[in-house]
Amino acid sequence: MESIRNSARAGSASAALLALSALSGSAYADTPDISGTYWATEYRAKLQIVGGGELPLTAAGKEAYEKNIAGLKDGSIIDIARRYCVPDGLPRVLATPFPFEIFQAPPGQITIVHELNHQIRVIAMDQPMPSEKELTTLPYYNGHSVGHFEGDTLVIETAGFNEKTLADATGAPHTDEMRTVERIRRTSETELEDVITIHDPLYYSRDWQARFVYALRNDVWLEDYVCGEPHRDLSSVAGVRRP
Amino acid sequence: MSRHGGNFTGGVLVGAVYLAGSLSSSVMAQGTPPNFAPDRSIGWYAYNRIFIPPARGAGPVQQDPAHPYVSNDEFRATGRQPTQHLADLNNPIFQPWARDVVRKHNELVLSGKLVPSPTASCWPKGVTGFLLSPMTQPMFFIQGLKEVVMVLSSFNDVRHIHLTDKHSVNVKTSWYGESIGHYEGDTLVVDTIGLDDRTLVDGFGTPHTKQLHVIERFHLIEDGKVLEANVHVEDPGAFTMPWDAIQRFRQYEAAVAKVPIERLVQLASAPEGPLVEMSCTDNPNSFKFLGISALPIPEAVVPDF
Repeated sequence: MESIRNSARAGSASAALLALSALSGSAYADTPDISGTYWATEYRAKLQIVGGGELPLTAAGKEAYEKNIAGLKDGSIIDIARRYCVPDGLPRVLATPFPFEIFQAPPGQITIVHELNHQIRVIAMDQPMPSEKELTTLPYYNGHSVGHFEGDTLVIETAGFNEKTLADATGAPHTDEMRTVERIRRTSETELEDVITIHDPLYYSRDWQARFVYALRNDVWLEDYVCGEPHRDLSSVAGVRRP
Repeated sequence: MSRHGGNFTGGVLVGAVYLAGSLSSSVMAQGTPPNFAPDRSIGWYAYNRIFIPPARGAGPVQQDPAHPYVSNDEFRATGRQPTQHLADLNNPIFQPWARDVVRKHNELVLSGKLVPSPTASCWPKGVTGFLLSPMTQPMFFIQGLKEVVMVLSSFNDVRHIHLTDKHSVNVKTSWYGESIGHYEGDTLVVDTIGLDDRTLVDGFGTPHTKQLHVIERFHLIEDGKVLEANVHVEDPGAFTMPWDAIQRFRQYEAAVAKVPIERLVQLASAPEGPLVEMSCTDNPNSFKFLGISALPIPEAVVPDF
């Protein structure tokens, strides 16, 4: 059963919110508010490129993709994000059919908390991208992210990925040298858009983009997520197929 | 509401409505709410894996005085031989069946067997176990306007605390239950019900039932360098009486300041914040060589979607 609850609660009076704004709002007083709970209305296992067409794979990329597809089919490759619930990595995490939250807190950071695999993305707003040495020494599933606002848009640059993740559920590959740039903005009062650009020249002959859209759902509370247990009803998300 | 008190609803899950007080009136009446994350580098390390008993009244399970506890963390800092949790069964809070469960845990320990906790196999810690975990990796707070998120750096375990004054009409039982919170002056008050009974209350193997109801009061002391949680526990299914406990957390510098410099490398602590990505199940095979009866790690044989 979904945990959809009323968003308007009696205790959240404006005076209290004003007092509480010192906790999380002060660092971003002049920046757009994109905080909230979001939930996709559509899921696609395969990445959809902006402008259409197929992934612009290089020969090495094509080989890696075919190997992944075959391995996922015969079981020689385990989709560890689904099997052991490790973080999905970029860009796959953006395709999540589960809700997630964006917090513009603590100061100097934007925190994206996902229900799926209880993975957390930390976006540093107060520092440059770590050095190449650090990126290669401490690679993460979801990479190291730094961000800044350009007008109403949050721009997130991410690098320093491990190679354990897939770019999508079909097995699209990436290398540990992948770099991504996301441009996240509210396109309306009720919708959030994330357009991600993928730069991974070993596997892709050109940079390409994918677009993800989410509905603002502050009426939804995120639930616990433990691998292998029943989770929330996803019937509201078109394209989800339960095995 | 007193710091150790709380108005309990008797642990009724369905239809539970707990009036935790008006957020707006309490904030306005008592000042600025606490800021547990004034900058993103601040994480909180627990002092101990055993709750501190209150000054008076019923308290948490403690180590059997005949078998002093030395944690792995203490070993790293002091070099003392680590020992396992062994409960003092004389604590009057136990219902008979709960005492029997803990006695069996004691017997396993005394037999010389390692008794790994479920959390060692990446299962959620639950409430109150969450507060006993951040010894070598910190706990972080993300304080939003409508929700506070608590994150254990190790495993990225997450608790969601919704800043509202009423529990849901139908609370779904889950690992971390349903937590609602509000600020009372300098204190974040968190009320949690709907807790799955597969978790343990502490490291002694103390069980609980689904009637478990926990109120935590988080506030800063010692000029903000120490975070204190005053915990009130009620579970008539497992305990004969309500009991109170205290846990304290310190910032990184404070934690290492008392450790000789030559032992710093033994602390096994991450550098001070910020929160980083960690996955408990990163290496599932790492749990297989131990040769002990640890629980299998969570695994989705059939993927979720």
